[in-house]
Amino acid sequence: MLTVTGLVTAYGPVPAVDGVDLDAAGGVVTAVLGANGAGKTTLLRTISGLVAPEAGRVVFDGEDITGWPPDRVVRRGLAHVPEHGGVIAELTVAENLRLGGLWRPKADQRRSHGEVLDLFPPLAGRLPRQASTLSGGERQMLAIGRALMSEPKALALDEPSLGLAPTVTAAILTTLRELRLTALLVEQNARGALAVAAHGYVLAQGRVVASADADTLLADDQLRHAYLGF
Amino acid sequence: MPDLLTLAMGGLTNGAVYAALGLALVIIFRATRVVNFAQPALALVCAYLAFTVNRATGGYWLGLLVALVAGAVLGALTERLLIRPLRSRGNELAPVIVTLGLLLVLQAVCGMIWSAEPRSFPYAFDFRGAFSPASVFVVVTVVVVAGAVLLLFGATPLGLRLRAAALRPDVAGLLGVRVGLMLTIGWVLAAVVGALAGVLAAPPFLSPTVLDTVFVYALTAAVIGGLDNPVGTILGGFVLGVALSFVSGLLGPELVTLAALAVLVLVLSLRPHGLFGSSVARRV
Repeated sequence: MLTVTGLVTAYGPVPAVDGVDLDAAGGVVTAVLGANGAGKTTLLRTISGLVAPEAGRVVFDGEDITGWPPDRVVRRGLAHVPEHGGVIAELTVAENLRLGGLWRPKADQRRSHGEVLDLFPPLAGRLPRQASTLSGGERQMLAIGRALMSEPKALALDEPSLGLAPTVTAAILTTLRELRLTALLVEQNARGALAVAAHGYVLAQGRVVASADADTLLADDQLRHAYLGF
Repeated sequence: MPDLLTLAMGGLTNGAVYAALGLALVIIFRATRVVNFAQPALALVCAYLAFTVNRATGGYWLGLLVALVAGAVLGALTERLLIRPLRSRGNELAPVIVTLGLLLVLQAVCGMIWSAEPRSFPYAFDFRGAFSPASVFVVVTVVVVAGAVLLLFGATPLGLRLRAAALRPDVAGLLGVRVGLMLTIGWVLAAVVGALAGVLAAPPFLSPTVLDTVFVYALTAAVIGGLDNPVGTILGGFVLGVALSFVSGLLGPELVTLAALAVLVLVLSLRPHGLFGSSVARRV
């Protein structure tokens, strides 16, 4: 579904992503793990077009999307939920949701809207409120729900567990698995991510240092100690 | 002792123009965090084009239409050619300086083409009397246009995109909003409103500096209203217009500029974010 080959992204002279190869299969969660500064966020930002790569290719759903602007990538079907969710605090919950799929036909928007509220019931009662009044968990729900408003073929999520209580994180990650969407999940919370993922990649200093089944990664004590810190 | 009602009506008419030009400033400030000092010059070019068309055709309305279209084109060109190339540099002051330069260039060009002599510029309707049709036209037009702009921002998908692109350009892009296009649309919208203000403010005489004082008061109105706040700016424009009209009629016209400064200082010392501005500033 999503294939990344030889991707290099640099901020100035220092490459943050340094020749990454990665493959996210359709219909399952693929986890990208690693410590702070391993290049996980930059990898996602390059895939979704927020930064341009120095080299390499991003192929999504059979089409080369390398260097596309972000608005075109999301319309093609790859939605990116950024770090901290990127909820626009000055807008209402309803406006944030609508923004997720404004370019789609009205009927499709309405259907997705209903589906999102079914998936995240707490949002339904808060539609007219300013997004700034939401709790951390609700914000993350809004961010993911907003991405789902585009009815994406794949979802790229940047640390959805950041700053959330473990139970909230578990609920969000479980929802993610139940959606059976293709998802690229960037996480520091390796145990939680691998619990819902089919496959995992471990990044260190911009390179892939391990790639294996989620279960294999969970069972590999040496790797866990070396790169994931638990 | 001048008739208070006459003063109030005159003030509303002037205030409408301050409100319109102030609204144009706010639209651009919200979208790009740039105070567009070239706003009066863009409006001036449009007013001169209206003048030329008026003289050629003898009518008022075709000139107004040409001015509005010219405003749209000039707004788009300014954003695409002058402001956008500076955006990637990340220097907040550079675009502001560029608009200041554009102001000087356009004013000079207008002087070269149409000469610095005041040219007579027509009113839309009969301008005699306290409630002249011309005054009513100015006030009603500005109220309707301001209402339409607020409706566009608050209640349409385009308005939602414009707000999202202004508040969080990075996030808006990830949500499928074409941020660059939205910035251009913001400038176009502002320049059209500015062109309208220019045509409404110009009579009875058009000269390269005719909009300078109008712009000073429009900027005052925008700052009073909170530069971020379109409703506040529109109200600020009308309040300022009426207040200055009373100062001019009751105390003397020489005190008008001083009074505007006094209002500005007073408002800014009591409420630094403007009468209607929110107290939270967003650093981008």
